[in-house]
Amino acid sequence: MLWLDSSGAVYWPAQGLLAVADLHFEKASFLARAGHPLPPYDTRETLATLARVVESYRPRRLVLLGDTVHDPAAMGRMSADDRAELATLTAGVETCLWVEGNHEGAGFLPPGGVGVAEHRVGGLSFRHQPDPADRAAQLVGHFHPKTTLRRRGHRVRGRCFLLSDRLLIMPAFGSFTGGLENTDPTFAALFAGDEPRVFLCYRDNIYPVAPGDGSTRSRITGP
Amino acid sequence: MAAPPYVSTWFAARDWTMLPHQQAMIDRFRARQSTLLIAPTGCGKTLAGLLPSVIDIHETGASGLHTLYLSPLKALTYDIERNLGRPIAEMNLAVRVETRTGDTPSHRRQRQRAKPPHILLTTPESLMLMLSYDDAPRLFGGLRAVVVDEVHNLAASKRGDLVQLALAQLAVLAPDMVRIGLSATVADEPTHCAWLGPAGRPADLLKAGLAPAAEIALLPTRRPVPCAGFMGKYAVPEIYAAIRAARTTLVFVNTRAQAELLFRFLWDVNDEGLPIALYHGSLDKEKRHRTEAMMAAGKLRAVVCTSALELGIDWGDVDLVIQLGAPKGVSRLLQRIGRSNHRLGAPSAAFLIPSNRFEILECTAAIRAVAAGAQDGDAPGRGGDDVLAQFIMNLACSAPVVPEHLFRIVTAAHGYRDLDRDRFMKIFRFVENGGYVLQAYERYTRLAAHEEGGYAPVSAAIVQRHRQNIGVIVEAARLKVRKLFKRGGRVIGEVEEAFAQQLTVGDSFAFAGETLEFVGVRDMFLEARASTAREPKVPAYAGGQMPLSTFLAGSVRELLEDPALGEISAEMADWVGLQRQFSVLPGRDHLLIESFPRRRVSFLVAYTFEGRKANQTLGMLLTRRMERLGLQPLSFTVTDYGLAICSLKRVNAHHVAALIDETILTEELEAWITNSPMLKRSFRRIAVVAGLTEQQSLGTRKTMKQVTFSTDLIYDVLMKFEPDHILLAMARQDAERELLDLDRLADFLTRYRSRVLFKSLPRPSPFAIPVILDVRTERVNGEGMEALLLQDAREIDAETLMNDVRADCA
Repeated sequence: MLWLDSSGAVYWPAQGLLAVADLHFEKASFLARAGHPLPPYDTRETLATLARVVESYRPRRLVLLGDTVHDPAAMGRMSADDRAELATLTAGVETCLWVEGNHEGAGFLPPGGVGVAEHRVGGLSFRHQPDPADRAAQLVGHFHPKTTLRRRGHRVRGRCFLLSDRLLIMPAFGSFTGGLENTDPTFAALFAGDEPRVFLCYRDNIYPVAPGDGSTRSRITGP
Repeated sequence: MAAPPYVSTWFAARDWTMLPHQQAMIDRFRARQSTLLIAPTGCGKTLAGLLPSVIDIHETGASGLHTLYLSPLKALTYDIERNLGRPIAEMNLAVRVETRTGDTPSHRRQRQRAKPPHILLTTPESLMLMLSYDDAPRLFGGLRAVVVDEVHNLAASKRGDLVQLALAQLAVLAPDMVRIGLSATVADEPTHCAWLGPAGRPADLLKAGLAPAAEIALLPTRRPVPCAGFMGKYAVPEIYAAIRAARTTLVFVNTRAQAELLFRFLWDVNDEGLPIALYHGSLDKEKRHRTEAMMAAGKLRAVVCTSALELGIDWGDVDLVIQLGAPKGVSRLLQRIGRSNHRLGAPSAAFLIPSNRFEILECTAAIRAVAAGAQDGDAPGRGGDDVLAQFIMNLACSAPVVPEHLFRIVTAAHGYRDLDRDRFMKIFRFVENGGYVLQAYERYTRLAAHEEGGYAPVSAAIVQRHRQNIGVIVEAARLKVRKLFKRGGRVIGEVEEAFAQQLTVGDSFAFAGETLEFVGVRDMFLEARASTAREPKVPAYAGGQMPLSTFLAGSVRELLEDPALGEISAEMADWVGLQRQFSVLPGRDHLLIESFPRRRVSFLVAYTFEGRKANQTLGMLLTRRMERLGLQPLSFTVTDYGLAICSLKRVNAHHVAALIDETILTEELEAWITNSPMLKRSFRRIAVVAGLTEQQSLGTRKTMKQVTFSTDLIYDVLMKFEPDHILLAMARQDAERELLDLDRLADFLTRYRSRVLFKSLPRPSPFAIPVILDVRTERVNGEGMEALLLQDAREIDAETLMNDVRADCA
């Protein structure tokens, strides 16, 4: 049994495991280097949310599911306060696993934790991107899924979880992250015929979306 | 002083007489007197503005750039090039005139910088670009005049702010320059004169003779005006008959969707195959140029068009203007009507066609206002800080900037004369390095101290990106429309991305005068093929809406009090009678509020007649209050006359006292300011203009790596960690520009709090129908939506449980 949290986290009570994906720490400062004067508070905001979730579930194991930093040099740009906050967080759990994403780059050293290519436990595989060869059920990040619903003529859009028996795609947890609509053909290919269940994060709650409801009007053909 | 002989000879050869204001402009130019010329259309305004320069160039044998002509429209610069080229050629003068816009090929731009023409016709954005190069002082140093056309259109806008700032910089580069403004009639002349001149030294006002009175009437139709709707289909036979009877007709509509549909309707009845064309801003450039050329050659009998054809382009032969849909503003109506009989002395003829019954009121009010010689329209106010941020970067790209020096230039622009130093420095710091309190950020600076003093961009990449993003018009992301044939396809225009997103494969829609079938979106193209469908979906309404002026909204309320109201037309009498019977007529002595259910939600409609801006503000505040009262609001729709709020729970009489109450201005205001979706929308705009982010285009979305995130996220984070940051102040300033000042709303609430007439109705009243069918709604993020989502979640849970039971029983 897994719990989905409206922040975008997943908690697995049986394992005392909390997973979050795509934190993209220091994305703003990465863009700022290229001359975009974005506010430098994204890391702080993401850390605050993460601290809140950790505080409420008190996991033994924290799994950061890849793209935890926006680029290989991100840790060097993080402010001292934010580094300290991150250190407190990772020290507060028995194990902190940094699953490798595509943004970290080779040779990235996770501060306060263990770097792994993937993590397998209790019949589940945790990795950044799905591996089609893996027969186990997988939890992945990477795609930043979002969905759009219409309710009595009103539209709501937000991050979402996509879930099938074999694959759970998590939303991005980081504060400055964009998204890919759940109707994107990318997802159809990933779920290979299974229609995934969609769970929308809206404010402080999670809402299951009826099959065929999310974004049905915006189906767009792929290349 | 008389005009030179070659000029008077040229006039005489055409049997023309030089008009007094044309003569006066020559004298003022010689006296170096900056002037705002206000004249109705068809009075030779452009010639009056540019002829003095032509004469001066000829007489002084000027070399280099002598006169800069600024127009809000590219198309207008080409038009002027043609219209000015003729007299110059016929007078045999060695005066070179060229255009420079975003469409000018780069080799020609290069040449223009090296060897500029005497008169350069350009747009504010292209001027800014030229000012960003290091050779700007050389290029503009000898400037003798700047002519700003369509001042009434530019002044009260962010593009106007850009023009003001550019003028302030040009005045430094060319102290000898004289400023000429050309404008249609405006409500507030002194403010426009002040806008044109340097701060504290308004330009002189010169008014040309009055235009002959326009002949405006409602077009009588056989079928009655429908209760709701906006397409005017009922009037198509009469519109066609009017086109047949006239030589050339311009049919103005308010939205692109209206243009598309009316064009189709007209061709459906076009038994004689009259050449009727379509013209709006979404059509492909080539297509528009073809229509312009055909029009100029007199080959068209009618053009169905949007405001894209509203500004000064000279269509000599138009003898009839038809306005479909309410005219929205007196000045706008005059501008449109002025397109007909663009000749001196001939009265303009125009027909108005209301597209629904409420618009009969608006059309009638407009006709009366025109007859009374009234004007409306916004007066220019304080300049936008986001525009200033862009201007600072622009100057820094040209040469290192010193803040003190820059501050003097900026405050020499009328709209920035009251800018205080602290705020200026905050804006400067934002441009320099983002201006965030967090110290570590100083490493990511965009401007750095230059060895020769002042600040300059730290890299060529920053300069390049700035140049690519000059401008203040923030548009919705757009897709090009590609019509597919058996092999390949052809681009025929563009639509908003949001429109593409609501299409499903196989949907049909009207575009560029054809019915197309949606095939899919590929890269940045919406692909479609010819459709056989009879009734297409219509293009998006975004980008074509225009608010009614507050003045006209007030006039409509007065009209409602007119005892002779029912005499305007039979359907008016019917509609008003029904409203009186079913509910009550809104009036000056009370505020009518109706409440009724519709389609599983409830509506509250308040008839304020305060204009769109005040209604927008009121809508924001009321929905917050309703959220607090647990009424679960979902959205609201603002119209020119009032607002409709959609909620899950029904508003009852006992809620009214808590809703229409001055305390919403204090208690809800702060909460509103921080949480308003409107402020986020403003933030989106200022983020682009000030250089925080770039216009989002679909191109940046092709790969995961480049996934963009919305500025809403930036807004939230900034609000949380640095609420005093200048960007948030800019967003608020931008929002206030969109909203009416709160004083007016406070007056309104005080006046009506004890005079609310509340009507609980079983269904929408006749007056409410056009309001709730309006398409522009503002979403409320909050409990209402949560309740809806929750309810659906329960239904899914229930369904799952039932399935489990079924599985057990199977």
